[in-house]
Amino acid sequence: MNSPTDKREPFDVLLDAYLEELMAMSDADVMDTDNPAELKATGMQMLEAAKAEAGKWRLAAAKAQLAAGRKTVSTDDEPAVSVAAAREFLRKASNDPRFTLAARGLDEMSDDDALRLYRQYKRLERERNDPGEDGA
Amino acid sequence: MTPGQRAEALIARYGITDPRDIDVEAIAFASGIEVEYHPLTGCEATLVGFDGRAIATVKPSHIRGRERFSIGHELGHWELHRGKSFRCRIDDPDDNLASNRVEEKEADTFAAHLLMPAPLFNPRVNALNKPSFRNLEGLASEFDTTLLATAIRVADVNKLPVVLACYTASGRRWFKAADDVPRRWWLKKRLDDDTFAYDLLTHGKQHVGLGKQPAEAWFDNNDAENFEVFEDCVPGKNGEVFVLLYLETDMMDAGFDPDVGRRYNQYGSYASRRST
Repeated sequence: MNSPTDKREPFDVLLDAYLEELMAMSDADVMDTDNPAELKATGMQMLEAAKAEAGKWRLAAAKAQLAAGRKTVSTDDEPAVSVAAAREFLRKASNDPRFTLAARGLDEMSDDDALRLYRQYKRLERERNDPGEDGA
Repeated sequence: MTPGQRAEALIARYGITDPRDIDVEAIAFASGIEVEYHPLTGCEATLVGFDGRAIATVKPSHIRGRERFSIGHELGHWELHRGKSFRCRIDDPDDNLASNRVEEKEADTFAAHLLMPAPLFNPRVNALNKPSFRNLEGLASEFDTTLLATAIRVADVNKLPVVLACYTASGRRWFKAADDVPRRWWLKKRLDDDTFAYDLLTHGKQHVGLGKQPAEAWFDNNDAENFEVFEDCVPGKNGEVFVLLYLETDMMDAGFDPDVGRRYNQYGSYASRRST
């Protein structure tokens, strides 16, 4: 999976450029107006509008990626593992801050769910180690 | 920031100004979550995450609003509780209202604000005036949420004097009142047989829309007989009934009730019901 937030996007660059331009304005340029408060308000409005546009672009990019369908790596490709080994992995993972797990407790989880969660973890680990594997 | 503010900040970040643009799956994806649909045992959804990426698995439902809420809930866990492991929600979303689990309540709050953000939701609630469940269905349709989640959010935004409650034959499961509803009104723990909700629960007879009822059918207060309240109800699942009460101005303005919630102890003194 390749999240659209992973890399800088054109609107981020535009925003940064706009901010830099604002910051680079000399005091004389800023003061060369009859109404500094109005100038500031206008600048803030433009900045907010640019941020909203950047946000819309990000969301549109996410939608486009979802609609296009990603080349996902099937969890069925994971090596076979016993239910006991999957549960043991999940038990250890639940004490590791790199992992997040919101699921039923291990003691009340079905075997199918334990195996699925195990495979999903392994897939995330594999994609983390080889980000190009999902075709991104 | 509170969980609700965090969710609404995401909506603002993506420049969303129309409920139809709240594509929760795309928002989750932009936050690093991929959503999968898979039958689950005894759970609405699960989340596994490793570093900055996660997979949310959602139990398929023919009610899209339910799936959307589950995705919002898991996104809430991802945004608020990353790096932790905990038990997920129990089988039904409204069970969390009767639960004390902090993470689950926070994730539910996040989901509610994400799907029904105040800047988009509140103006529509204000326009409802005196809402029935039918009105709320319209709102739920616009935001693509379930009727229950919408009704809870309406009480939560505190724009209307409403109380939402869930009852079964064995009594009240939970209730949520708008913050401005005076705490002096004590909602009954068991359904009074004069209520429409009782008719619905015991006889399957549904009263359509809001109807006036004596407030004493709904509240324990001695002076409740002097007031009237509007009631609407709809059937829930597994023998539940959801109730929407609308309080008029006189009930909202009623002063402190020194008698409600208190009773005499063995020495003849008043004792707070909450402490006994």
